[in-house]
Parts: sequence; structure tokens; C-alpha cells
Amino acid sequence: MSGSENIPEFILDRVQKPARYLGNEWNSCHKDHEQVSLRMAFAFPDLYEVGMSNQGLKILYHSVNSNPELLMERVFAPASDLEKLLRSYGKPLFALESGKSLASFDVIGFSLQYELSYSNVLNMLDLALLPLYSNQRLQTDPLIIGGGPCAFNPEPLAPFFDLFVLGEAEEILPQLLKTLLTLKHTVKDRRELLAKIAAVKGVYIPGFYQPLYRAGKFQGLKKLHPNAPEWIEKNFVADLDQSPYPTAPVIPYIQTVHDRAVVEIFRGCARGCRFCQAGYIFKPVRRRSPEKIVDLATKIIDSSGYDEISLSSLSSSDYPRIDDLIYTLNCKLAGHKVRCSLPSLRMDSYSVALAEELHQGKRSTLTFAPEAATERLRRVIGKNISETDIYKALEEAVKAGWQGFKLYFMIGLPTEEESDVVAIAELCHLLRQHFRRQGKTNIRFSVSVATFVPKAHSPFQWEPQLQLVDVLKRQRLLLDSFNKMPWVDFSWHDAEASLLEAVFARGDRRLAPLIEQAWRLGCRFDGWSEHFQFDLWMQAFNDLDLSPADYANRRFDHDEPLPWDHLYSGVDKDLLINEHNLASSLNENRWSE
Amino acid sequence: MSRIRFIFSRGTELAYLSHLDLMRLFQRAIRRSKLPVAYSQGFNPHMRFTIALPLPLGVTGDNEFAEVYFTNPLAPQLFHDSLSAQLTVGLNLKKAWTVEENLPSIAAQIAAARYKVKLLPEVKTKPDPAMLRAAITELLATDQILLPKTNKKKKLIYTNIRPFIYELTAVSETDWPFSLDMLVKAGSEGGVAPLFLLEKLEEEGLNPDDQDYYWKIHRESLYTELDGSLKPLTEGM
Repeated sequence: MSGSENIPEFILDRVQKPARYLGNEWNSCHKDHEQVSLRMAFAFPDLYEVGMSNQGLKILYHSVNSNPELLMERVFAPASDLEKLLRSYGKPLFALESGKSLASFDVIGFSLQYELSYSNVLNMLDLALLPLYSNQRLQTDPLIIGGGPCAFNPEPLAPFFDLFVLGEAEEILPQLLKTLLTLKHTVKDRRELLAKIAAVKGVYIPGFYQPLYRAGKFQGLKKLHPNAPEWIEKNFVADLDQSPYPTAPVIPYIQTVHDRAVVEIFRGCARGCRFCQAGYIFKPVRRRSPEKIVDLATKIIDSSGYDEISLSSLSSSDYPRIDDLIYTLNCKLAGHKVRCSLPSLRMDSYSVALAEELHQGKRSTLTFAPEAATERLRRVIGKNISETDIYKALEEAVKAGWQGFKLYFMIGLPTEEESDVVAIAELCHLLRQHFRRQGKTNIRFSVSVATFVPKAHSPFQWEPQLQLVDVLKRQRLLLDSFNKMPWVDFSWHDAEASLLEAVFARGDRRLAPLIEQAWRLGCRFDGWSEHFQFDLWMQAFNDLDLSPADYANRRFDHDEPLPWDHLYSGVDKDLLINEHNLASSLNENRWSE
Repeated sequence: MSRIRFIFSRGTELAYLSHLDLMRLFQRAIRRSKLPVAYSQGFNPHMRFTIALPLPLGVTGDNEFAEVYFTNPLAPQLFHDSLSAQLTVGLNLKKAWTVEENLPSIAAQIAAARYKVKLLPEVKTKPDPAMLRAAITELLATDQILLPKTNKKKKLIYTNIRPFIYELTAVSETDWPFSLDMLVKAGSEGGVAPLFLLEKLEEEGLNPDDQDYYWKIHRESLYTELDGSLKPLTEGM
């Protein structure tokens, strides 16, 4: 029953957190491989505790496994200790539920949540003893598919995959698998098989297109197969109330990043911050009805035993009458000792009132994301909160008893100057003084600063990322300022990792050999600062005569073809250009004022 | 308020859970069972559930004790059936009974634990019986075995755990793989982990070629102190 068909006890004895690899958690789904017609492994290219916090995994696991003829098992990137043991004992990577080797599945589906997991994708294919490149795999090998936000520009990974599924997959994936199931026995040729599903909405078969380059620049794609569509339209769920949602989620043994019940209350975001890819690729905004939310929440609490339920979305305080919803939920779950939480609060006094309702006596820290510290820059990026909003929100919160605040900012934003960066520290200083004058001397801040990464399908997709030296300089500026403020806990994202993220976010297929080379040099878990090896990545760039700056630090032209132009997010390029122009004009306004 | 104690076993399927993982698993199972479990008072209420002695990661157990408080009187059989329905393979609820509220906590009653240890056959050259005998004799002959531990002030301190070894014998020295039986001090007053003793035996000549030994450790029973002598904890206690 434990995933020990492939993993002997003496291997589990030697690894950290062996409970990651057991696969027999409460609510996990165990089907007889002989009794189903199609087997898919859901592969998450990061550690168990990260992957098991991903709601997409839970939704797809449920939507596929509720079909009797289909089976989905899970596999995560093994930590380095297990990787070493698997390699030294010649054991293939296995799926958790059955312990069966990944290569024995019909389909392996990778969840592509962030660019810094790409080296892990290759590592998992290799540990599964499969050839990395699609054109080197046999017809009997599993079909390798990918989905998730990075599938909106999967070009750097294109040669490794047979197909990508664009957009939300919970409705299309079971259908696609059933189609594959009927074709499996009649169509033996891999290319012929792919041709037959090329017209399915959201299916992108990279092998049917060939990129063209001139003078080192991407010129567009050439179609290689008559069935390949000109452009691929994303899938999205029309009605959240009718879409599949897991009411009996798998309960991890070990503590995961988000270890709680989750009900997604709406999808998409009406705000449209110009740096935010999620705000564009998850359009339109669709709400789940309050009745459905309460129904799901009750069922999940019953089946899981969780003591916390998170009402998740990209901006949860934007849900209409969220206060009523929380009240109803609290009444319904009273006596169950269940806490409600909202992961993403807008920075205004309404949200503070909500937080007060939620915390009921407990005062931890309150988290907000102003993103930029000057009103001008916030206008440019489309984060429309005013100085007054910030002061009012904190004022209310302090009045209600909060003393600790976590604030998220970005540096390297378009039009940003050093003065905008210094303003982050100044804002903290002014707020502290403001409250000190009121006799509140204990106000503390935890400030986290990320580096802006231009993302495909966002209005800032043409913007260059700030040069690495300047990012480091601005981080240093902040560090110097915050060193004088012992009441601020300052943390920042690794600048080199953000550079790599920008390279892949706007990358093309010429980066595939680079990923392979970096992986061969030993790169794994690039999103983890303790594992990230920038020097190896730089060596790989050198080996392949590529430059990260060409992808990350170059301003793209509005009229140049983009490697992801054929993937349609639902937002027209003209609209993105307008938004981008608007941001630039807002910046100019500042000078004309 | 009522108080129920129970005995459970943990098999190999869930041996690789840490103590905290197992606590969480039980607490979630109890919540799913919808039994009227009691919580502590205060801002951060926690479920009144205790496991008598943490099972180390990788160790299986046959007679593990735990207790839980309820806000209402509850029939032990109902508790047994409701909780069992929320547990999967690898955890088995064996017996449950009501205890007086004024009894000391189950954790405070633990004085010792008995382990059965097997050497897994993933070893190239096996130690011979004489080696095992010699290593045990050697180890028991010393009057000081120092266990290093960092205390709360992050200072390294040493405890002499030689007096903590009550019994240490070879169950089978001829059969391959051989097994050991040990009764050692355990509980809130201090104790020793079986793996530490096994490392000491390896140092005493049990592992001359310095191979990777894989030990399978099983906790057979827990002991309490009654009238100055050790007695196995049993149902109803």
C-alpha cells in the first residue's frame, strides 16, 4: 500500500522527511492499474510540500479520478538525497500511489507554475529513464504534456514536450484523456495521434511549428502540419459553480506550505495591475456563488479534519459582500473550531475590518502588497491605492490591535528611479513616526522586496528587466536604509534568480539546449536559494553562446513578433499595447505637472 | 468532561511519520469523527490529546498509548469505532477505555520501553555471533556511556545513559539477520533512543568493516513504575 513497490525501506531510512514519498495519505486515490483504461501521472517539478499546496493539482486529481476509466497519480521532484539513492540503486522515479515507475504511465502531465522549476522537469524525465526530447521518445513512451501559467509561453521547454494544454484544464483534461483512450489502440504513430487531437481547444503541439529567426531575432512560427491551428485559444471554465472541485482533498502527513482547506471563491482579477500575468491569463472574472462556497467549505471540513479554511482568489476582499459570506461561514462552522482566512487583502480600511472579523482575538501580522512606495509609480503599474489608503488601513489595523505588518514591494519596475526605491524605506520610517506620535511605539514591519520580471501576456511584457548590477545596487540601497531601522525585518529575492526567471518568461526555443546544459552541469531546484547555482547557469549560457541580457534586459518592440503570439490568453495584443502606452503616458504626466 | 485512553499499533506503512506528523494525523482523524473532543482554554485552543511517548521516525510499535478528553461522557466502544473509521492502514486502534479524571497524565506514567531490533539483510558481510556477544558484553561492562545533547541554552551537555539500560540481549545470534531485545529508560525523566545504543554497539566492534547497517526498530511495549519495579502498561491502566 505504501509506495514501496519501488522504494525499499532502507532507502526511506536514509532520506529526509520520508513521509513525502509514502503516497497513502488520507483521501489519496488508489486504483488498480489493470482496471482502468488510461493512466496519467501528475508531475509537479518541486518538492512535495510545495506541490501539495497547489490547488490546481487537487482540482485535476479530483476531476480526472472521478472518471472510473481514468487514473491519476502524483509525483513530485525528489529531494537531492532521494535522487542520489535512486541513481545509485538504478531505481526509476515512481508515482506515489502505486509506486509504479513513471515510464509505465500513458501520460505524464507536468504542472508548470514557475520558470525556476524547468531544470527539475528535465531531471524528473531523466529519473523516469525517458529521453528528454520529444523526437527521441518512442511511441510506447508516455505522452509528455504540460500545463499551468508557464504554458502561456512554454517555448523554452517546447522540444521536451509532446503537447501543452493552454488555460484552465479541469474540464478539458478528462475529455482529452478519453479522446486519447479511444485513439490509443487504433493510432499507433505518435505524430498521427497528435494530429488527431491538434484541433482540441487549448491543445498546443509544439512539434507542429517551427520557429524562424533572422539576424538572431525571432521572426515567427512556420506551420509544419496542416492540422495545426494558426493560434491556440485557452480553455476557461464558464461557470465555477458547475465546474469540478475537490471536496475530499488529499491530506498530507508532513506540514506543507499551505496546510489548510481551500475554497476558491472566484477566479480572475478585475484589477489589472500591469505587471501581473495572472491578472490577464485568468480573465474573465468568474465568481462562485455564496451558497456553493458554503456547501464546499462544509464538505471539505468534514472530509479533511482541517481547522483552517482559506477563501482563496487573486484578491479576496474584492468578492462582493465578502463580509456576509464570512459571517455565514462562521455561523455554519461554529463549534467545529475552524478558522477562516483570506490570503490576499486589499490595502484599505474595509479589508482591515474583514481581518478583524476573521482573527477574533488573535492578532498575528497583517499582510499587504503596496508593490511600490510612491503614488506616481503605483499609478504607472496600475496598483491604484493612494497614500491615504495606506495610512487609513494601517491606522484602522493599529487601532484594532495589530502591531506587525508584512509589506510586499517590487523593485526594478518600469520608470522606477532610485528615489522610488529609497521611498520604500522612507514610507516605513514615516509610518513608524506617525504611530509613535500616537504613543504606539511597538509597530514593526516585515518588508519583502521582489525584482520585477516582465511576463508574457501582461502589458509590461515589452519592458526590459533592470540590469543585474542596478538591481543589486538598489537592493544595497534598501539594505543600508533598513540597517538603521531595527524594527524592520527586511528580506529580498535573489537578483540572479529573478534574472533567470525573466530570461525564461520571455524565452524562445533556443533556450531548450541551455536548460539541458544547466541541468547536466547539476542545476536543480533553482527557486531555492540554497540550491540555486547561478555560476553554473552562466557557464551554460557561455557554453551555448547565449546571452541572458538578450532575453531579460532588452526592450521588445510593439511590432516585433513575440515567441508566444500564437498562444491566445483572451486579451488582444492591441489592448495590452494600449495599457502599456497608458502606463508610459502616466509617467510623462508627472513631468508635465 | 470524560477521559479516554487507548492502545494503538503502528505498522510499517506509517513508520516514516514523525511524532508531530502522527499527532496531526490523530487530531484530524478525531475532528473528522465528530466526537465531542475537548479543547484547552485561551486564545489559541489546542485539542486535549496526548501520545504517551513519541515514536521515533522509522520505528513501528505494537502497544502505544494515547489519551483524549471529551466534553461529554463517551462510551469507549463508540470512540473506538468512530475513530477507527477515520484511520487508514498502518494505524490500528486496539483497545479503548475510560479512566478517572484525577489520574496523572499518560505521559507522566511512562518509565521505560522495550524494543526489538533487527538488522536488515542489506549488508554484504554479516557480523558473526561471537562479535555480537562481545559487543554487548563490552558495552555493558563500561560504567559510563555519554549521550551528547544540546540544552535549551544551546550548550552541549553529556548524560551518562549506562544506568538507563535495564536489559540488552541477543535474541538470536545464529539466525541471519540477528535480532536484539532491549529494555531502556524512557519518558519525561529522561531516556535513551535505541538507535544511539545500536551505534554504540557498532563502535564496540559489531561493525568492523564500517558498512551501512540498516536497523529495523520495533517498540514492543511501554513500562510504568509500580511499587518500585517496572511493569508493562496494559489495557485499563
